[in-house]
Amino acid sequence: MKARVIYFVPLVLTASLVLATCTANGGSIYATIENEQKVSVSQLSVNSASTLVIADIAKAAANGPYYVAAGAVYQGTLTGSTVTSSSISWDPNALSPSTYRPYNPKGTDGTFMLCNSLVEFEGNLYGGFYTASGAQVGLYIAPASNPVTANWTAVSGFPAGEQVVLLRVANTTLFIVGTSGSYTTYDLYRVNTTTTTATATISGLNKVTGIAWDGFNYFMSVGTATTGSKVYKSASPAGLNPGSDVTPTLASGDQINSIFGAGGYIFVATGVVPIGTNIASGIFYSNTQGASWSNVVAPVVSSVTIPLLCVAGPIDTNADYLVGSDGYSYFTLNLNGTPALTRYSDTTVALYAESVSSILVDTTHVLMGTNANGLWGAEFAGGASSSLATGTTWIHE
Amino acid sequence: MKFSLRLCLLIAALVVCVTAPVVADDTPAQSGPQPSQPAEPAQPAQTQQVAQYNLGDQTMSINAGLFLPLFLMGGSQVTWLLTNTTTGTGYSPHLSAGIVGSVSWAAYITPQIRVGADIAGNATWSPNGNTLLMLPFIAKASYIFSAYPFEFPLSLGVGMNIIKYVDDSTIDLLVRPGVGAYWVFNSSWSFGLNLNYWFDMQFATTAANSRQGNFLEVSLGALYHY
Repeated sequence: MKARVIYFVPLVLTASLVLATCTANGGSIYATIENEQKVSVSQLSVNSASTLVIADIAKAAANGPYYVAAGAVYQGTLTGSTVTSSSISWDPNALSPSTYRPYNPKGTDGTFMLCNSLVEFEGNLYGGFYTASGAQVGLYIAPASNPVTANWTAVSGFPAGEQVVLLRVANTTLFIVGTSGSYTTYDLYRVNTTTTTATATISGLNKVTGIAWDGFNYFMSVGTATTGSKVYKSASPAGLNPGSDVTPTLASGDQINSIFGAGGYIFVATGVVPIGTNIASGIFYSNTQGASWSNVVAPVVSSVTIPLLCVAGPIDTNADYLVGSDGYSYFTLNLNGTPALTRYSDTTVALYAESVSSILVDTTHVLMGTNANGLWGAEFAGGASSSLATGTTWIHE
Repeated sequence: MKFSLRLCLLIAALVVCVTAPVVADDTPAQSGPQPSQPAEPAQPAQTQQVAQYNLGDQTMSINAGLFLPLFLMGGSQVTWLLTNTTTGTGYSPHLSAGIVGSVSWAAYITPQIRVGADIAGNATWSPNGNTLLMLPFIAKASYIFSAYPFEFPLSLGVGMNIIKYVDDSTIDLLVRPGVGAYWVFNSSWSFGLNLNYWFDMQFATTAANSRQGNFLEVSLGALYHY
């Protein structure tokens, strides 16, 4: 019987050789490893960069300084002309004491207030702040050139006790969305270019998820999957009450997460979050002021339909926009030819699997804020290319 | 030819299962009292060399050790995997040194040659902490040079290498020559050192992304004869 061994040795060899010729998905793992670059360790951190939830990103001017709202307000100063590893120095950072908040106002209780929304408008930073105890909330303003603690003051006209939940600049108007604490109805305020006083505009709204300007009209998205999402437009800020209903046709049960305008286009990002329902209509865009919409369907990865959270750009001269997603990093949306969403493909960078909820495009400098994995920065190639600059990768700021 | 990963694993498992029982010794079990045999006449003392192993003798071994990434070929240039990828502070190679382990079975077809199969696994890490996993199934033949109490197996293995890295997976062709040095502890056990060279051929759908990975395994082994 032992002699039978020799008959089966060829069988093993043959089977192994046959199996060796197959490949699962084309196999470019070594090429990926060959090009992988070490991602810098985040310095934008007071306690733990890996858990920072970025609420907003703003810039005081072209090439910065940049300001990031994540509880603390972080100031980033760019050295040189490109975003590379450590080219943006952040204050406070990992080396600073955890209680140090140089760009946050202090509450009446003497503690630094926390920031949940931030925007630059007409040379000033506006921020939504609250004390850790929740006893004090409000809208504050400071000069963008020097928003240190002592320079923040409460914005007149904005009622005490109103919690800011969203700040957006559209055309020549700063819109402030607040709630009196119930988080069931929301109020809209605005500030124009000639004043720093807030004016009540609309009250009793459903949740406002975005306000934008396409070059011709103001657009506002309100509602959730539960209440139903709507898009309203108006030629004037005050006219958004209620405005014209120009809601695109969403998938049943879907919701609008944000709205963005640039260059004659208005974009709507959709999808129910968190992932799991597989309800997401993708991106709607219109260059007809909402009279008609085009749809780029939501990407599907491993049978998961991906909710899209935000849009920014363009990032180049070729009509490429950046689209943040929930858990699948960001996509590039090209509007030329047959518009399509292309996912950021570098699997070796942790950003590949993050939720990108805010994006700041400053020509070729890009900052992306994530839900729970801090801030990422990169230098894009510019011109007609939507790729990162040659030889660069994303930086965990 | 393109198979699903699941199918490949299934076939590999079948190969192992099919070959295992057929090499088992099927000599009828002897139990109870045996009929007495007449005593054989005394033989003159043997003077010729007696082979230590015979056809059908089998071995099992377990090995564990260090896995050293060497270089990648096939790109615009050779990439040395242990070189630093950054110009900043610290040392961050393309792949760090990793760990490897394997289980092997083999059977002698001549006193100096044994053939069999290996199942191995190893892990190495990228600068960003991503893990490169390999799980090869290898058919292997070894020629054993003996200098009692030492043995020096010279081996050549060929098989498939299942690789997983972040969200990607692939199955490559692996050729693995090797050499070892073993100390024969007794008739059942030997202990020694293995040096295996892993030449892994990865054929990408996009030809420009095809690479050949070169790695060195340095492992300790325990070999059981039965």
